[in-house]
Amino acid sequence: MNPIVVTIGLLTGLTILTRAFPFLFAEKLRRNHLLQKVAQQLPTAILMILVFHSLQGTTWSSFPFGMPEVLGIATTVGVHLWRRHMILSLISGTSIYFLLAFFTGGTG
Amino acid sequence: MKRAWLEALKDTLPFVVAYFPLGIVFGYLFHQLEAPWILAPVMSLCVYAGSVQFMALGLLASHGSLFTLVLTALFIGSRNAFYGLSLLDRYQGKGWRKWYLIFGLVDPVYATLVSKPHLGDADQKYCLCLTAYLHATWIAGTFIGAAAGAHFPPLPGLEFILTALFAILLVEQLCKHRAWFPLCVAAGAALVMHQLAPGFEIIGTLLATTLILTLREWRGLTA
Repeated sequence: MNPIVVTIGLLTGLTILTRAFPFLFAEKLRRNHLLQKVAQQLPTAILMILVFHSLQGTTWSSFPFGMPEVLGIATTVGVHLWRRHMILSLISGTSIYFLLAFFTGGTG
Repeated sequence: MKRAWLEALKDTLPFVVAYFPLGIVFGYLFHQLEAPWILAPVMSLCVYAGSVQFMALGLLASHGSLFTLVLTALFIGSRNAFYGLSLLDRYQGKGWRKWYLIFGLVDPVYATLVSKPHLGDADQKYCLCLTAYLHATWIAGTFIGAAAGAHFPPLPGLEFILTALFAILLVEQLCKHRAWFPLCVAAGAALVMHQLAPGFEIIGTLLATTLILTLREWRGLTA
């Protein structure tokens, strides 16, 4: 059989397994107070991790030292704290990122 | 309450803008394998895990072993196992709807749902629409990237939209809960893991963070 078909089959199984895992033990997990307390704090931690993770392709050790990314995020967060308007924050932050990336030769 | 499907569309739209080109990139890169292009959208339909799929492309192209592939996929994919912990109560009910929701629990779905209050009766429909829109976007992007192939090189830099979205949702989360401790622990752990365990940063950070949070709560309970 085509190795890629085998791979797709295996990875599909893994996706289902990892995502269904906590739900298989839902009753036990729900009754665990300690776990519930930790689970309440996880969203903040996970969103932080996702921000880091999505920056994987960034160049930190040479020019432009991740400057477009850092300033893009700073703009996004700043505008969001100011107006609390998601689309506005998104467009302003992304524009800053693209401008900086373009002028420092990162993109485009 | 607006109609659930419309509300879900509104909330997914920014992620769709970021996800679609990412799907195109995946479909485009799939061409480096000696395989029928139609397998690319099939993979996006069945596997539906962006970072696992990109990793698999790399390993398949370099003829890596199946064992390495499975182990790495398990490491990368295991972060999704943590997502369910925050959604045990929300994803209740029976039948295929619940299982589709669980199957489609990817980063943007998680990030959106933890920032969105429960919508009562309309909630399951809202969650289903949200999940289906993103799944469809990912498949469609992959399809176009794979079908158009080399004629349509993807635009770089659009991944930043994802970063910005996660940052916005993080700000929202902090405004609501002011949970500075988990934030600092996660940031610190991410920086340490970046140095110590490149390649296993996400799951390493997640495990370390969960461990620290658990120990803290456990001390609180026994003190």
